[in-house]
Amino acid sequence: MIEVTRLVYEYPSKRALHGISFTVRPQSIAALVGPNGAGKTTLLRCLAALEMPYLGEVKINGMDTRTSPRAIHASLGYLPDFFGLYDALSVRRCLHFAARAHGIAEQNVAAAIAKAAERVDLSDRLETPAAELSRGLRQRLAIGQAIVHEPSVLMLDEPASGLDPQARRDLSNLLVALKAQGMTLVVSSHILSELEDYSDEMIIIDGGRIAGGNTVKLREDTKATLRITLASSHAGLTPFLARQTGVEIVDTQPLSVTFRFSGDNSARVRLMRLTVAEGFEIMSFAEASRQLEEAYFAEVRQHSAARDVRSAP
Amino acid sequence: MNPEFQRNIWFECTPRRVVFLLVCVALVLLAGHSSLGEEGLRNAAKYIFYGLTIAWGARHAATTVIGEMRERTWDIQRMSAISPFAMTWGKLLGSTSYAWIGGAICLLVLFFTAFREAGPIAAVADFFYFVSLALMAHTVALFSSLLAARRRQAHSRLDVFFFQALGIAAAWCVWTAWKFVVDGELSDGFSTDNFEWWGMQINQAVFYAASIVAFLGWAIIGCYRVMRRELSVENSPKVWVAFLVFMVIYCAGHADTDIIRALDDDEPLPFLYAMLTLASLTYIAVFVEPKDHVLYRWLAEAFAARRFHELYSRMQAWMISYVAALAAGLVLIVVIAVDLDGFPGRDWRGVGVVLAALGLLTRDIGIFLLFAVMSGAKRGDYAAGITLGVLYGIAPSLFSPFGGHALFYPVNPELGVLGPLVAWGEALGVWYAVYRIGKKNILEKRVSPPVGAVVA
Repeated sequence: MIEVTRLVYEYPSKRALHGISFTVRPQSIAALVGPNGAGKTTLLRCLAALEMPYLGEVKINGMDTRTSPRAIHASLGYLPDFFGLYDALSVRRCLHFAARAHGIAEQNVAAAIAKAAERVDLSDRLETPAAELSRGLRQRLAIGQAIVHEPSVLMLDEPASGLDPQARRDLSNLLVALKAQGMTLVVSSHILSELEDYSDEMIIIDGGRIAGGNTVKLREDTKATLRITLASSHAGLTPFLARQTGVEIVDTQPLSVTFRFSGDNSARVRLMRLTVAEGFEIMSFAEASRQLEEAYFAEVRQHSAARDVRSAP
Repeated sequence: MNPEFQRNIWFECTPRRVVFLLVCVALVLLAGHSSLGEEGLRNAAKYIFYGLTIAWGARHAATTVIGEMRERTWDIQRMSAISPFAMTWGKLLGSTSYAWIGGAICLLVLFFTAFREAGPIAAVADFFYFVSLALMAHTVALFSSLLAARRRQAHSRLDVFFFQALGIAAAWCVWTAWKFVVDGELSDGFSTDNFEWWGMQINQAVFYAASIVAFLGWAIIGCYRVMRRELSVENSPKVWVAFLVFMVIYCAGHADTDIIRALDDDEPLPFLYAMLTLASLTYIAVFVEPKDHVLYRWLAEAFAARRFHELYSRMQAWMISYVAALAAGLVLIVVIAVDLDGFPGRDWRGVGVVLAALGLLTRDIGIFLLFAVMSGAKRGDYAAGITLGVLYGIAPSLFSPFGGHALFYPVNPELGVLGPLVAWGEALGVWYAVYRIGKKNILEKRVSPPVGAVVA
């Protein structure tokens, strides 16, 4: 769990973060997005207890970055926007140092190295010096270093920049797997397509503030967002769905209805049968995640409009 | 094993490098022995130790953190769970491990040659001396590079050379102090002279050996404290206060030497020494510490909001030393006033001298801050240092033909009340400029709405 309360960070001639507050739920992936220079890296460094806030509070798993920075460092994995690798060391030694530096006992290091190397698909290159790895492999090694101690919170700054499409997909799968294993992830990027596949919520940073004042939910864990698309328009679908237990209508279009549904899989099957039995010609019945790019631009438009109103004479 | 130490060993002590080193050291020792016998062997070991372990080791110690910053691996280290103490000794001994391997062979040779020449006690003392030399050089090189790292300024080879030179200078201080421990040659034994400190007669050898240990200890503590800050752990000022107390006791104890006694009755002199010690440490601290605008803004706001406890926890070392120097000066004034005959000058002019000295200290601190708060002043401390050099070195001789000498050297009993007036007038002028420019460039420059403004 990450809790940020009225966080202010200042550079000598500029306030970089303007009293922002948000929470990242445990076992979720939060995307930190925004234009270049918006304050993403500064925020990430404050979350990682690498920079101390001017004012406000950052808590990681209940620990304050100001009073317990080393305990936070021990429980975190952090991938900076550069890799931070020791080129002269082999992959095994890089992972060995990372494991020991994060407090893993000597007798458990070999197992930790094997697991991390397997996760980032570097098991066959353990004896290769880091300097001889390609950019994609160096990126994987850096991620391996960040997760070798199985941190509860993982922060990644621009993790997919410069990766080829296959490597990006592998990274996406890895992050989803790490989340499934219980990690909380914060991923910073200004490339929205990177984040689409795995982010649960989005924090849009613009000019050192959170656009919209809060995080934007992209997926709900307790309620699935579903969309029914019909072959032909039928005005009765929305009222029909609204009468069903556990349904909360989100959006209605001529050919489709998007709604949140709190039932389990069998309830979902029952709902589909009922809808078909009611005579609606269903073309698809599927989960609908909110498109990240769509959400981003919607929030940024609102933020810009609010800023224009404030700055008007 | 300490992971940072182990990582350094992986880097520094590859088998090929170690074998190369061992062969080279063995060849030089052999050459020394063949030319001059045991004396040649000892000299060869001594010079290898000076060159390899002290000078080369100091370079490695100076590079260890700066190199990490240059290679952009330092944040990874800062994010580790390694404790500040483990990080300190891991870097101190790890980065110099290669130099210590060569040094260990030399130490063995030095120990056995000293043992044969002067016996076991002298051999142990000699061992202690050489280890202290190297440790002091490495620690001071690491400490100075860590201080520069805090300022995020030092990355060039010239910077590293400068920190290495500081380390070697510190080793030279140990070498000088050791001359008081050993009476001439090692075989002559330890000094039997006594030394007066706080009126006590202390064996000179014991005093200087203890001094070496004490200052080495403080250097290591200094590294540890700066490392804590680098690893995001806040430091309370207590340790700096303890160091000030130590330095005051150490230096003021010397006030009873014959040289000082020759001046006059020496009763207030320990207080004078205390003030001068604290003032010197204030100058060093204000030169070395980063003039962080954000910190100064935070301190100003905390002061305005009367958050005095938080204020104390984040005070810079120069602020504490400055307050302590003022306090010591005021005590000195009281002592002089109580016993006017006890101070050189024997009248109220002594009070004026002390007041003028405190005024100059205040002015000089203001000059450092003035250059720090000026916009775009990137190397303000150097500019401030040069300014002080001009004020104390060049300007007096330029103005003395016109009677302006007093403007630059108001610490003069002959000036009477004019001395403190001039010094404090200059101090007030400088601090007014600091206030005006600092207010504009630090407090008002922030381009942001008040804290907590949330954009909806």
